[in-house]
Amino acid sequence: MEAYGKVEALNEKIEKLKLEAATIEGKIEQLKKTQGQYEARNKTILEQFEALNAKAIEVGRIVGTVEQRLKKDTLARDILNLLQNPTSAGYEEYSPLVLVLLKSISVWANMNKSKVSYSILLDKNLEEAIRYLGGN
Amino acid sequence: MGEVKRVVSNLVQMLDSGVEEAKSLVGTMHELQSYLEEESNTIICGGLDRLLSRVRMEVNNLIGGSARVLISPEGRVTVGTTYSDEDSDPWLKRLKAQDFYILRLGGFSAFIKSLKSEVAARNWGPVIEFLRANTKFDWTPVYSPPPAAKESEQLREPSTSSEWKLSDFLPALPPHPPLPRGLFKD
Repeated sequence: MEAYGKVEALNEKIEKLKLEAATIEGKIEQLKKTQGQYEARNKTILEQFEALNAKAIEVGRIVGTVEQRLKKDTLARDILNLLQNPTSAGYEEYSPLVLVLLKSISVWANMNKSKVSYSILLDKNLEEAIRYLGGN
Repeated sequence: MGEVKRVVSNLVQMLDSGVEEAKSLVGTMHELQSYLEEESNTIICGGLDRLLSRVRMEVNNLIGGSARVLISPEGRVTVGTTYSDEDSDPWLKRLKAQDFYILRLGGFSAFIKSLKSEVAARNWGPVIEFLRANTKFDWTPVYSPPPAAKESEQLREPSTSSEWKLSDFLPALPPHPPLPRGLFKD
């Protein structure tokens, strides 16, 4: 009788444990599912970062090319400096640029001579300035 | 998730538009650079061409003797006539002693060509100075006196200007070889 009672208690415990095990298994399944979802999400985020990284490398390469090109474009920078800060423009390195500017101004003044006062005098003086700068 | 994709997509779009803008700006800068370079070359080479044609015209106008193009140490170009051999003409010998360069028209033409190659290499400074020295190229030829009168000919003193020297880019004479590049300033 006593032994039967013990068996019954054990059976109850076993049933309880079985129930707990089933709950845990359910939770594990749930966790596995969540882990799968997170892994998929992480994979997508990683792919996005990889795409961003590739773009950053591409941009870096383009920036390098642009910088190299700008370094070579010394005349373009010089003419900006000539216009912005003429007092710092040395004679020798800037005279070709001044020549180009004077030529353009001369043509412009000639095209607009009806609107420019003393256009003949201006034209003569510009031509003389060009000649004296070596563009004879 | 969608938020990450959206942020990344915005970043990529921003980078793309920045790149396009930079490319466009650098393109404009490069266009300006090319224009300035070409135009400077055109103007300077045009000056050299005009000087050459004026010298050529001058030489063609000479009657008798043999024409020589004389380049002073300051780079001033004149045209003269010799009636004897260059090495035996005391007038030309005296000019040579005073560091004048004496060239035939062909030699002068080759010299102008070599200056153009310097212009193409963007070594504009000395060429501009040379053109400046000839801003008022003398249309009246500097005729050398006939042989009998040459002995009494007095030449003007050569300039002592040290800003630039013609010899910096003129080869030894004669003959007139291609212009040595190393003699130009970098």
